[in-house]
Amino acid sequence: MSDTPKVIIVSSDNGKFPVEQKVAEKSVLIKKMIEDLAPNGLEEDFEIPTPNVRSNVLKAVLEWCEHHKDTEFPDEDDDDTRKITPVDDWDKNFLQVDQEMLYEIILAANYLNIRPLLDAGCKVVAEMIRGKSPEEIRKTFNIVNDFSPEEEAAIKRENEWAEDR
Amino acid sequence: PPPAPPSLNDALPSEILVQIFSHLDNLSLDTLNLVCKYWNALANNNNAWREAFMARHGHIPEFQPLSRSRLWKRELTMRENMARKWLRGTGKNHSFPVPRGSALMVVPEFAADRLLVYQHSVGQIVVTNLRNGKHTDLIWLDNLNNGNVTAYDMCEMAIVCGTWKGEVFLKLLSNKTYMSPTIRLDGDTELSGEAVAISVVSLKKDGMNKTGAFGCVCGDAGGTVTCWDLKTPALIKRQRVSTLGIVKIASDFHTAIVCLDTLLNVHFVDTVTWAVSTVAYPKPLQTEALDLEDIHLHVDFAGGVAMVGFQGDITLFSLSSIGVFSGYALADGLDAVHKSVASGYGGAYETEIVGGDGYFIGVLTLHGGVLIINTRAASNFPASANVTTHSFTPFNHFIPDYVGPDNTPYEVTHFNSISINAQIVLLGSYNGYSAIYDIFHGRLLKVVSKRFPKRLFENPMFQLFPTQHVFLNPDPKATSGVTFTHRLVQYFQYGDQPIDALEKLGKRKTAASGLLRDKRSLAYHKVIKHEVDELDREIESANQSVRLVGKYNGVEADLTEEEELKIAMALSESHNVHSGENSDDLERALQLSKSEVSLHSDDSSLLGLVDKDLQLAIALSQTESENSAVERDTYGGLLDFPLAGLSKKQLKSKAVAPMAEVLREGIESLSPFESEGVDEDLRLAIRLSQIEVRGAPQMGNDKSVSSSCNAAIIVCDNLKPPGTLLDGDAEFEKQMTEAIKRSIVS
Repeated sequence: MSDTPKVIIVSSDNGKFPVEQKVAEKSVLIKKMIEDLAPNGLEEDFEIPTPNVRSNVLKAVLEWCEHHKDTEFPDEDDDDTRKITPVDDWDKNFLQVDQEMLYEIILAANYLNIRPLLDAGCKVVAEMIRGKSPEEIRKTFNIVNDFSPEEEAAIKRENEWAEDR
Repeated sequence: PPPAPPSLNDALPSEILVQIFSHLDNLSLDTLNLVCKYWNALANNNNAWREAFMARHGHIPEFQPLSRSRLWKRELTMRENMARKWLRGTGKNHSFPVPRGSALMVVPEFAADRLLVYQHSVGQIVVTNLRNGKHTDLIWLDNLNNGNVTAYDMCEMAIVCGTWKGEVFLKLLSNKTYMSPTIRLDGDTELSGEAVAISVVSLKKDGMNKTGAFGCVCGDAGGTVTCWDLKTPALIKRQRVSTLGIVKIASDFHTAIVCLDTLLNVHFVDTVTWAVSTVAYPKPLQTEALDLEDIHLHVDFAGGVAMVGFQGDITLFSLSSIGVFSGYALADGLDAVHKSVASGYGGAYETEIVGGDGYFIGVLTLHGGVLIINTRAASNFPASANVTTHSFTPFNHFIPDYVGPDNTPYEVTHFNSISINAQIVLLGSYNGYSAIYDIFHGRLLKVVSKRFPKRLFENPMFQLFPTQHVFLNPDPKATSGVTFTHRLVQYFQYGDQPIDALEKLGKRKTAASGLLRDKRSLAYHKVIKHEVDELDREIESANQSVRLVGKYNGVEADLTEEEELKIAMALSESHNVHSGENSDDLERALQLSKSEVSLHSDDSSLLGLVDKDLQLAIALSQTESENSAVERDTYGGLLDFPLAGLSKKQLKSKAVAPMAEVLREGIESLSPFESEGVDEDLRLAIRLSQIEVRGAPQMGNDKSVSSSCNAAIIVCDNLKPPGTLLDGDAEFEKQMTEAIKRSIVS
């Protein structure tokens, strides 16, 4: 037992990750839980189960929280600033993982309500779509083309029309 | 091979996919439709696009849409396309002066390429063609000038002037009607009995159709308002609304007249019942407001809102429930409304369309801040009738950074004029500088007019001329505008509009010459037009330097010390600027002479094409020669053609003739082996003939090829004219000699 009580986050496969309260509160979900369940502040270690998140994903997410524990993110409601901010280099590097992991980090960020991480993840995926042809996109994301050639031609015409406007 | 990644569609739920899509650019968004049915459905989900729009432009409850569409996708796409047009660097950008005169009112009519400049002091209207700067007409307003006109308003259709005797005169101004005489509008003078000066006039023309309103309202110093239907023209009504003089007035001629008296009390006149309701200005004035320039009135009749701006306060008055108003105070209490403008006339209030419609008023403050007010925002007025004081929130409020010439004293007002549309804000600074900002974020998109030629200012080094008027083309799909600085007009347009214009021009030319029948020619035309525009500027600079050098060398005597200093500065400046271009010109000349060697082709089957291209070039140069003639007229003494004199002299000089011969053969033997090659050569030919026309306008077009070669050399020469001793002179001469030698050898 250390002096200050910790938040212990438990993954779906029962991995336990003790972190500082400040780090854990990067997750709005956890922050709200602590506010609700321990309104007078933490007196002892506080265990939070995250049944949707695997150990290695949770580890990565907490690494991100640890790195950004002192980062001031733009206001939660300020959508405008939030969306135009580019992904910072550390995040970009951090999200250089295989797609499965990337998706799971995005899902975890969505579940734990960590907006800056969710945004960074979405931007990274968007970056993977940008500038690619439909076929390249299908290949990248393992998507099956379920259009008939006629349907495809019709959509292409539609797109051209939209482009003219 | 690595195992296939999990399918994105299985891995992430739709709301996260939409979030991802919202980060994409327009082009990639179109691709999404083609990936699979699921993505297609998501990409066509209006709510998802609404999210994307909000993500791009922030939380915007109501705004003025560009597309007038119900689909968020359409609106976002249109905005993106328009933004791209504005940001694209290529465009047309030219400037020209109008005759001297004061007290100006400027009205551009983009649809007809006309610009009307009212010169109050002399009682005339100068009509100018926006595309070529030619003064097409000078309209005299008989006996109406500084001496008797006390108020006036002008639109593209007509001008209405009120006199100190209370008379009101109408002069029609459209191309078809301006020859008709000035008409005295009959008023019912019995009401006032004696002559009272007209203090304000407001004129309105709705659209181009015949059913739209076309009328005028006047207020006089005695508080009487008179309203005319100008289609007939006939008096509609004359009515006393106040005991004080009227200072501002507006009407749409079917619902109401709104006017302000000298204490800024707001009078609403119902044009059906002619009942007058008056709302006292919320901040009672101690003395009468005398400077009419400080009072701002804009009325959105369809939205039922009148905006009054005075000093640090902006107040919105409701027209539908008289007496309800809402205020906004500028930040520090010291700031004041400087200029204001409304975006168009504003149509009916449509709730179905994206953004729920909107009507923007742009306000420029003395401290350089910009306020965008949406008169149709639901939050403008108190929701409950019990609330007595209410303040509204502007749609956007931003303080743009200074844009303009470097020598501006710090304390001046940053901007002098404003124009807005549904997407952008155009602000005018000094000496032709103006800048474009995004209306949603206040982000600087572009400095539009930095190419305003300095030579058009009498003394550009030491003087600041405010850009008094700026205008954006009201057409939402247009990216053009006009700025007005110290009797100098600049017309600009960005994106692909020059091509539209050229297609128009092309059609006109087709009728005359039959040259431009196929699309290929038009495609060339597009390329050429951009080149020509670039060259215009180069030649202008060259002319300037030559002229100044002429002075410097004592050709024109009587130099003051100040002038000498100016010349010296300009010389060194232009020297720096153009030292890079010298080598460009040289290279072109060399390329041409080389092509003579490499293209000794007897492939005559394609010669027809070349001929055609050359014909095209000549046709273009003819067009240009018309234009340059126009410019000569326009600039008068301002612009001389030193190149012309020089080229005649140098025609006879030693190395020039052989080189000209070589170049001529080079052009004649051009053969379209590869289509790219032809394009390149054609462009080169155009450039050269262009130089010819500008440099030696009196030469015939039959000589164009040989003299164009001369002109190319002369341009090089002129950048380093003989007799000047500047750094690098020797090197330049060496370069020239070498170039000439090489071309002779080849």
